[in-house]
Formats: sequence, structure tokens, C-alpha cells
Amino acid sequence: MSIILAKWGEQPNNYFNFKGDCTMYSIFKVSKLKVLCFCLYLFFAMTAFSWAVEFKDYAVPEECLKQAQKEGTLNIYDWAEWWPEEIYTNFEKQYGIKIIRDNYASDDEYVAKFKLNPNCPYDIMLPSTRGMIQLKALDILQKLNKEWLPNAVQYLPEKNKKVWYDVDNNYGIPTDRFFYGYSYNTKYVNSNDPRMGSWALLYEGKEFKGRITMLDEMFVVIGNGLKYLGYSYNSDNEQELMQVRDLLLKQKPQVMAYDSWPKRLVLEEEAWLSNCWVGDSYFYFQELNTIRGVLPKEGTENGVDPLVIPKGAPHPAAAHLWINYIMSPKVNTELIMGIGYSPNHKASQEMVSEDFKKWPGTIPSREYLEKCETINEKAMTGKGLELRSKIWEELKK
Amino acid sequence: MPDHIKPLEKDSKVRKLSGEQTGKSLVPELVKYLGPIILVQLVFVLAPLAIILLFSLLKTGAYGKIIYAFTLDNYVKLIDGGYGMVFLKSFFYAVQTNFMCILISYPLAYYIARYGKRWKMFFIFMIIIPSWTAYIVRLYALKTLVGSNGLINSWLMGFGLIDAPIQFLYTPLAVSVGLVYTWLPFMVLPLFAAMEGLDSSMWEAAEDLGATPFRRFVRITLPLTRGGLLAGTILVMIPALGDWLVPHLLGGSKVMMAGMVVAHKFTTTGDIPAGSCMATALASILLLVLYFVIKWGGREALEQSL
Repeated sequence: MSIILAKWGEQPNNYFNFKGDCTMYSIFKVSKLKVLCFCLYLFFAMTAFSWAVEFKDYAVPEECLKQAQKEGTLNIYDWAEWWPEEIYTNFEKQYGIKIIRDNYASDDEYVAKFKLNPNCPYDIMLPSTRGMIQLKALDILQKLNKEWLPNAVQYLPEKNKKVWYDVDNNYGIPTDRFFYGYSYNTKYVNSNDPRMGSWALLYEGKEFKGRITMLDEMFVVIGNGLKYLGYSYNSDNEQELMQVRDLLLKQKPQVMAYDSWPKRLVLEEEAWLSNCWVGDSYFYFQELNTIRGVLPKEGTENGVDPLVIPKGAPHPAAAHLWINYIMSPKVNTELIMGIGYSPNHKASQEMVSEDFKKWPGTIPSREYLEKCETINEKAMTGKGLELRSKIWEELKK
Repeated sequence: MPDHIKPLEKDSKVRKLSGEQTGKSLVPELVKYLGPIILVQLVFVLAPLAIILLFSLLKTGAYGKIIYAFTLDNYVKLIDGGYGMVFLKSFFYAVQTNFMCILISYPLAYYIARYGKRWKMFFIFMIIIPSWTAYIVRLYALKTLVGSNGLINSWLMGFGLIDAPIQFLYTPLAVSVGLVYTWLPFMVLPLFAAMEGLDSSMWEAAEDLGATPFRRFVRITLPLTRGGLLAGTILVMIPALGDWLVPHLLGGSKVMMAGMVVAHKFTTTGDIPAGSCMATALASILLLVLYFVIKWGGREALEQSL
């Protein structure tokens, strides 16, 4: 913010200096300049002041910072190729703490790893809602020290504190909010198609044979199918699930691939309709301007990507510092604008650009949120899981 | 008896048979010569297998938590879980891959060994070098070659041979081709080694005695390279049977091979004991295949593959 202010402040100054060289204005030069400069200064100072009041970056307590700097490194275990690289390098520059990263490509990968060794030496992880529920059930997560996370305390929306799997955000701090949907290419898919805006186009778009990609995620593909048929995302009702099975088996001949990161297929225009996290469609759009995103009207899963600290973390203070850094208004806005996901932060939902707010799924309405569901134990354990597994195996056979 | 002729020294076998050798000095000697290899085998081969076998006998709780209690449920579920089709399909792909590899490698190895002359090593290196790069990188390279907007399709369209790109990726054919492409070098090398060992005077003799080329092949070349053939089969068919990256990357995850079912159990379902149970079953089948190959091909197969 201060850089922008400085730039804006300079511009009028130069302008007047230039004009001031003309003899006509030379008499008034000093006074006019001074008054104008003062007005400008007052105006910007006031705006800057109001920003500062609303969206201040709260620093961690001295004690945490000192300990973090003594620890010196931070082991991050998160998604490959997702968050902008600058977020990591800026943290290293700002605090002089070295970041060592390790990546995974799916929720299941890290859960399997922690199941076999609960004391993996990672400081920070970025699971999705489902991964976090599993990690917490396996008793792997550390309780967070809220005193060391002033930004999170200040900026997390109230509704976040009521989620069933983590009341009061004691174990994870959500950095964003995600919804599933699909992207389409306006060159090949008519935007005025009557099925546009519904899951129908993706699940029953028969004319797009070999041009559809689905996520390679069991819970997502089956859950959204349930939503499309008007059932709960977490249903464990056999009849309902069997209907989804038929739907998916009928869809399979149209599917080009089950791929969780079909970026290349979308950008090279091989896939015209592509099941994705809605935020990813914004990401594709940056590189190919005929891509649009759709947030299906039937609803979908409403999930978050929380930052968590496992129990075996060797550098807990640095981990808290990292969470607080990510939750600072500036960094969180940068992050959200980089990945195209929905902000889950009181400041960054105001600070993102107007263009960004227009993209589907970035700032969803209250009514839409009511149609969405959070994943829960009904889908993830017992009969729900067993039936889903069976359907998935049959689908891939 | 003249002085310079000493009685023959009995070799160890004779000494052992005659009871001169006591068991005492045998153990340190075994440790000395076989100790390192036994240690390596224990740590890197037997221990992981034992862990998998152990996990396959455990229970699973909610959210995939491993419960340390004995059960045979996983095996019961495996038998009536309807996985026969998946195993059969994998087997089909593996046999097909092996067969295609033999069809391609046999003439290749034959021509290199017989007519390669001073270029022999060059040709063999051209076959080996690609396998130095990681297998996943090669699959991605293949993807860019044969994709709808890939090199081959754009050339064909550029020359006006086809109007629309041929959809090749994400079909069962792509899986077959990918498997052959990945494992081909492992068939060529043992076959080449076997062919190299052939004495060309054998062929000459057969020719002199009036054998037709076909008869020469059936009676001389084939029996003498059987070891190489079986060695190649060990190196190709067994990994191909457990492969899951090729169906994932080239088949668009639409074809489930045995390796993928194991991966699915381990990750998506999160049921590690069930996954271990499947891995054990798969490994047993592979061991059975190995056993028959060795039984049929004898020691030559093993020696050639080393």
C-alpha cells in the first residue's frame, strides 16, 4: 500500500513542476503547489489511515519471533505447483528463516504417510477439509497457540468457528475456501446452452465425447453426482449411490481422462469441459482467455484448506510465524488472487480486485452457500466409504 | 611311489563326506563370504515383504486407522470381492506386452548381434540410453509425441494425410503401446547377450547340412537363446503386471490394473491392511510366474537376467 501511495503522491508533484516551468504560472507556482500538495497529502494520509485501521498486519509476540529465529528452518509439506512461489521467498527474506519444502499430489498421499509414521518431521501442512478430518481423527495434529496467531484471531470470519470438525479453529487455520465446478472453452461449448450453469452439462454432455475430463477424486466425483441428482453430498444411502453409479458409468464413454490436474489438456484445447476446483478455472483463464468457470447451481462441497501443525513438528514457533504471515491481509490477498480461490478472511475479501470478485465462486452468495455441504463422517467412514470405494473400482474397471 | 608325486589333496566336498571337516569352521566362513549379501537381503528384501505381510493381517478402524489385532478378513474380502477381472486384465496386458516385446526385440537383437559388426556397441547404447532417464519422464515425452496436438498428429495433418487428429492418448491401445515402449530395452538386452554367445559356425554348419532358414531358426537359434528369452520375460512381464503409472498417465486412469487397485486401496480408500493384502496376493502370483519360468527355462534364464 505504501508503495502505491508513494507513486501516486509523486505523480502530481512532477506534473506541477513541469507546468511550473511555464512563465504563466511562475508567480503562483509556490503557493499553488504547496496548497495542492497539502490537499493531496491530507487525502492520501486519510485513506492510508483508514486502511491501516481496518486491515493492520498484527505481528507475532516477541517470544514467538525469537524462538522461530533460533529454530532457523521451516519444513513445509504442501501441494505441488499451487501457491505462488513469491509467498515462500518473501517469507524467507522477511524473517531469515530457511524453508524446506516437500510436496504431495493428493490428500490420500499424506494421510497414508502419517498413518504409517505419525511422527513425520514436518512443521506445516496444508490439508483440505477431508484430509484434516482424517489427520485429526488419527490424533496427529497439535493444538495451536492462538496467542501466537494474532492475524488469524483478528481476521477469521465468525462462521468458521462453528465447523463441526474443528470448533474455534483450535487445530487448523483456514487460508481459503474451495468449491467444485467445471471450466469450459467458449470456442467449443455454447455459453447459452440450456444446461449451462448446472452439473448436467458435465455429467450428461453426450455430444462432448472424449472432450471431458473429470477429477481423479472418488469423494468429489461421486459427491457432486449426488448433488446433481438432488441428494446430500455425504449420502450413504445405497439406492442413491447406485443411481450415481449408473450416471457415472453412462458418463464414462464421454470422459477423456480422470485427471486431477488437467491444466495441459485444458490449455491445449484438448479438453473442452473440465471438472475442477472453480478457482483453477480462474487460473486457466489467466493463460487462455476463452476459458470460463461454472459454479453449478445444484451446489457442491464447501471446503477449506487449513494450515495445520503436526505433533512431531520440530520447529513449532516458525510454523506459527508462517501461519500468521499467511493470514496477514496483504499476503492473504496476494495468495487468493494468485490461486483464484474464495477468500476466507475478513480483510482479503474486501481487498481483492473487482474483476476477481466477478469470477464465479470467488465471493459466493449466502443462498448459494446454504446449498453447499461440508464433507463429514457419513461419507468418509463405514457404509458410505465402502459403497463409494466399490463404485469407484467398478467405474475404473 | 616316486617322491615328486604327492597324494591328491582332497577337495572340501570329499573332506566333508569323509567326516574330516567339523562344522565349527563352517559358520565363520559362511559369515565371512555370505554375511554382507545376507544382510542386504534381510534389510532390503525380506524386511519390507515381512512388513507388508504383517499389515495384511491387521484390522482397520474408522478413518483408516490401523488396529493391531489379528484377522484374516482382508483375504476373505479379497477372494469374494470380485477382483478376478482386474487381475485377469492385468495378466492379459502383461502377457501381451511380453509377446509384443519378444516380437520386436527378437529380430532387433538378431540383426544387431549378427550384422552389427563394429556398430554393435553403438546400437546397444542407443537402446540403453533412454532407459537412463526416469520412466515417468519418458512417459510424458511419449504423451507430447502422440497427443491430439502432439508432434505426430500435427505432422500427419501438415502433410494432409488426415483431416482430424487421431485420438490415441487415453485409449486401451495407448496403455498397451506405453507398456511395450517402457519395457522394451529389458527384453532386447538379454536377447542380445544370448545371441552374442552363439557361435556363428553353428549356423554355417546347419546351412552346410542343408537346413532351410526356418529349420535353422527352430532347431539352432531358438533353443540356444531360450535362456535370453526367459530372462527377458522375467524382466518384462513381472514389472508390467504390477505397473500402474502407464494406465494412470496414458490411459487417463480409465483402465484399472492390479497395481492401481493396490494404490487405490492404500490411498483413496485409506485401508492400508486391505492394500497390503492385495499386494501380498499380487506378489504371490508373480512368484508363481517366476517359479514356472525358472522351472521351464532352468538356470540359464536366471543367469542371463543378471
